[in-house]
Amino acid sequence: MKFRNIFLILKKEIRGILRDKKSLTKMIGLIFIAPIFVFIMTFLFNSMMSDDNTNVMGVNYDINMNEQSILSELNFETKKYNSKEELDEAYKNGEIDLYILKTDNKYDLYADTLNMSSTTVGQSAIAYLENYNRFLSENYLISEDIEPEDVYNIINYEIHEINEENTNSNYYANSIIQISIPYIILILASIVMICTGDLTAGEKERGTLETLLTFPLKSEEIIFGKYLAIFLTSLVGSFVCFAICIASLKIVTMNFTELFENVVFSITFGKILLTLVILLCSALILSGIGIALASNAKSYKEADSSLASLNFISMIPMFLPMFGVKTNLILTFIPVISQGMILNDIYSSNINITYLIIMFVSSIIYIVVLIMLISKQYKSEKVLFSL
Amino acid sequence: MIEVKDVKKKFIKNISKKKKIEFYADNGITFTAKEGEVVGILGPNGAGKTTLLRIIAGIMQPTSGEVVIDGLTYAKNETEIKNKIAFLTGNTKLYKDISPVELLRMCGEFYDVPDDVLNKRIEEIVKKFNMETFREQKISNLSTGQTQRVSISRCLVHSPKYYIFDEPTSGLDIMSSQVILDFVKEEKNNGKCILYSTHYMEEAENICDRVILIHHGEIIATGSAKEIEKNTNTTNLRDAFMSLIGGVENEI
Repeated sequence: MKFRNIFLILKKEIRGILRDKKSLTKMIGLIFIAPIFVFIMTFLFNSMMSDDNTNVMGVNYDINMNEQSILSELNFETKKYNSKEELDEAYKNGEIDLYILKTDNKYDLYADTLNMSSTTVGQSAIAYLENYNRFLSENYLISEDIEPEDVYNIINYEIHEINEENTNSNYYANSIIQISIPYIILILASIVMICTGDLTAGEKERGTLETLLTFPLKSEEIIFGKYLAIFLTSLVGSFVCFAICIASLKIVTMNFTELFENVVFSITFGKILLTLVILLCSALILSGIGIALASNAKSYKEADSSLASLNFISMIPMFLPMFGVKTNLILTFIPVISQGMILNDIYSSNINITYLIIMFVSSIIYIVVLIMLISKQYKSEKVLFSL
Repeated sequence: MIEVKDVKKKFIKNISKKKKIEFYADNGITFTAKEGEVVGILGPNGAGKTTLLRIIAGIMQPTSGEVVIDGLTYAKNETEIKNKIAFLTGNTKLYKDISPVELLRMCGEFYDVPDDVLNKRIEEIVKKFNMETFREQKISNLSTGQTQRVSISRCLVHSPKYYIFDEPTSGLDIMSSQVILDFVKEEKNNGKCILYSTHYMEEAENICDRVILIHHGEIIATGSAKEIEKNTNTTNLRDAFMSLIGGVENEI
């Protein structure tokens, strides 16, 4: 293989990518979805957690001054109705967020537990009942000449944070970080998808591959040049996306302090370096898989459907942590997923060096195998001429 | 000189998931073509012309037999041979997002033409094909005739010794076709060797010194158009071809 020829193919392909306005717009659009996503999610979660939101609770009893004080602190307004039927009707009409039905000394709380927003309101309603219960208990103890502290604080305890970078204290803020970082791998896969279809099947479809084959170039040089073009484009795209993601996360953590309370999103030089290396591995693997998948396609459309699986695979690491799945030995061997999971671990300050090493070593093996496979594919007349 | 020696090319076609058929697109083709000669490769669609020319151009491997060009073979001297050849097909398209000059430069770089020589040659080609007015325009914005001129011009950039044209006039109007025919005549006069495949028999009669008639992957006649017509007692190549294959009825 002559490096000069590989460079010439690379130059031709990069020029093609940069001049294809449609593909370029798609790629830039995808990259800039990241900060928009971060800002929208932050804004939504922040407004859900905001103290300014007043919820309306339906009740069938009179609220006394003490209860009113507790409810005000929890941002509750109350509306009184006479029966369960009336409360039901009011809930269905959206007049109230939930309701409490009091019978003698029993309080029945009715709320939609499947609705995330109602769950939050429900938790506040439970807090009201617990606080009021405690208030009544304390009053009773005082009337019996017993110090409430002696009853409630028989043992004393205090929670101390041992991990300075603990990011597990706010579910919503963590969700934003957990999705944003592996999102870069999804963008990387999408860029690979856009470029690969055009550079492989697109070239066959346009009838320019035959011209290329008449030049004094080896098929390995052609495919390696194409591979490098896809790899470099996706790498640059993912680096830009990473920078934008970090910048937008920094902005939201600094400006939405209430949402990101106790959530430390710190970025060190080591983290940046590790991320760039992982993105490099991902770009090398995804570019190879992309070419291998699209090589047999006869048209751009056919290549597009072959490459769709690439996007699906790259999305898995975004959702696994949300279901409590943690990086393990088996996942570390699965390309693309392992990179996404470890990237997520890095930003949860939960790096396992063994997993990191296994991921790097297995990535190198996969890359070598993929390059050998695509070189072999591009020697086949069946692939080159869609026979 | 181009020497084609007993070239055979076998393909396997999938008829269904279980059934496959083997067939020879070219079955023992042998001929030679010399400098200053236009050799026509004639035959109907599916005769094996494109496969044969792809093998001669080095973009397909023969199942058996070999192609020798100036004493060199693809097995040992692929780069040297490809530097001597220009291949143009009717189906070949150009890169749409670049200008004619960028295309010429790209092709020249692939052929490793030195920069100073390349710059000079590009200017000569642009002038020769009257491309001054659209030299910097994107190829996608050019007319069919202009695109055809760019297609031919890219074959000249490395000053090849041999031209392989596979149905270059297929689907073109009379004016665009004439550009190619004029070019072929001019290069023949410059002492270049041209392999010219077509299924337009009249076109071949006009420009080819020698004709090779191919049918079902085999040579059925070779010689000048006049010789073939004389041997088949016909007055044109179309009738000669029909006479040699036993008529359309025989084919159907």
